[in-house]
Amino acid sequence: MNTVEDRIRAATRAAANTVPPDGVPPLRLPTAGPTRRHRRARRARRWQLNLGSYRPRWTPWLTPAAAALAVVVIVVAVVGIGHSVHHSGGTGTRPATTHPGPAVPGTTAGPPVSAYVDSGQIPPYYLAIAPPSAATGIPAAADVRATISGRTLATIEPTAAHRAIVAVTAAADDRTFVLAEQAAAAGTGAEYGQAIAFYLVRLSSAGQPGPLTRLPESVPAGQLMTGLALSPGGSELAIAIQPGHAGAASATQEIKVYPLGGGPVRTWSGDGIIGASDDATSLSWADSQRTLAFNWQSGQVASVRLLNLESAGGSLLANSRQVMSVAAELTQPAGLSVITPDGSAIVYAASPLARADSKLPHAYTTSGFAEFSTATGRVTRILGSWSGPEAVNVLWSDANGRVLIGIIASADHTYVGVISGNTFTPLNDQANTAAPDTSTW
Amino acid sequence: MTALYQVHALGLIRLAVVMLGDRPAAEDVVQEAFCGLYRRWHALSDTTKALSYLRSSVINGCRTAARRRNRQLPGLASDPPGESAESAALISEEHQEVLAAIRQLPDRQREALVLRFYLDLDEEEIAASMRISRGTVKSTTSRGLVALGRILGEQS
Repeated sequence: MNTVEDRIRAATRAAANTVPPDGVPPLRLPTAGPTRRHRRARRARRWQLNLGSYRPRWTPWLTPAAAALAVVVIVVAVVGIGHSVHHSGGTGTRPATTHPGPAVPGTTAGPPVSAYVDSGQIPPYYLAIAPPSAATGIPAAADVRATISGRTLATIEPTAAHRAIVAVTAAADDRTFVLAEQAAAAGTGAEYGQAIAFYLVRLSSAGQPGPLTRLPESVPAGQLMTGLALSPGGSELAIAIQPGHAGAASATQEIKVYPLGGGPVRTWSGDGIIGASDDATSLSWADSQRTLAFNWQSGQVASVRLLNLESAGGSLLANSRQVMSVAAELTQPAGLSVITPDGSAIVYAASPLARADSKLPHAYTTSGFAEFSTATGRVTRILGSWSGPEAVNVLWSDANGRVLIGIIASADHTYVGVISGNTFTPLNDQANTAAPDTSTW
Repeated sequence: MTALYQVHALGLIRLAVVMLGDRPAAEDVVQEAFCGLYRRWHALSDTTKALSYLRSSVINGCRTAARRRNRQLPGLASDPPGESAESAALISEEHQEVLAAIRQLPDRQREALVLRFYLDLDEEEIAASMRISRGTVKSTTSRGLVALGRILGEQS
């Protein structure tokens, strides 16, 4: 009984066994049918029963400046090996009709998604992690989808059995992507703590993936990858790593930047936390490729910082500066933010904390996207503010933050859509989006 | 509902006892979870997910019960809850030390570790029970183990 895991198993089972099999009291159900109050509560809380297996973790962070709060997290994905690509009938980027998807309660729909794509305001393709499918036998895969129709154009399978694609990141051209693939530990089916390999894939102009190219970079077994971002030009890969996770005594966090064409790897390190496991949203690049934004948690404070990539490496804090900060719960390390490609602002997704167990003031009741100036750290714009949605997340920004792609979780549904001004246009075919936080443009 | 209770009540009470270290409170949490399911049965989109719903309710109920207990005993709020005297007599000192350490963890870390190492749930099942993403399960489990190792190291 040497490991912490073994001690947990033994202790929890000892505690559980204090309840004998015959020690269960009889069930005491309400004697009458549902009351009016219960019926109201049932309607109001119906969403709790319809979420299925996926629900993003909407975390409670406090942003005094923006009168909104937020949190979140993200991510995940999965996929396995024996890489092959399935092409799904035709390029099919355009649906039979281009009407908007389902209306999102509490929001105003903007122009149809096709208008954004046709005008070049948002990219035409995206990759999303598809969950394992017992029906097809595919453990998990990366789907290539058309932004307008939501249709799956091709499926990239893992490279071998018992492997999983756990994260996806994209360059600015919407054609170059890097996939992170991880093996499942024998016997447990969990990728936790296993080594991660990276593969480069390029899409054709029709959205069809070419062959996967194995990159020399990797995350060794025993380390935790908490961030992944391909540079806008596709020439460098930034990875956030916790070198020692289970059983380690330190909270050291590293950011490594790998030149994909070869050359020295730069490493910055500090004591704190970036993102969550397999988090492809905790890091984001400015187009200049001289600045990398990262979410950072130290103690009870979560912040967004800008790393100076012109430095040679070294201290993560000394070579970065804070743009904004919020109060955080210890267990929710990641915030939802991206730096705009022009480097002028941080777009921060702010969600209300309407939970009964929230410690936060009830005044924080709106969801939205707040823009913080990277120069001053002040809120310069509110890009959308709604009282209906429970939580929001930002996945992509145009050059200056005027058009975003993000997530809104309403009472009974999670929508991926386009945010512009104070409008939200959901993408079509949301039913295909099992894990919306993994959608990558 | 009664059949569901007969099949799952023992396991759920044991789960709540692990979380709370308090059998009467654990039984209350499980009763309330079944009452909640009874009231919402017709709204449940997929009745085969009843166990998942009950497990989520028990986890949330334990969290609420623990916080309520801390509010009622403000002087003891920072003290980790211990086993009842009756239960403590059945648990070795080593196990009590580990259980006390588990109950010092933040809610999500405690829940992730118990679901992973007591119930042996996989990451997908834990994600569904805690209503968080799979990646969050992994990182929360990892950080929980680090924190627990640190607490136990300090105690030994």
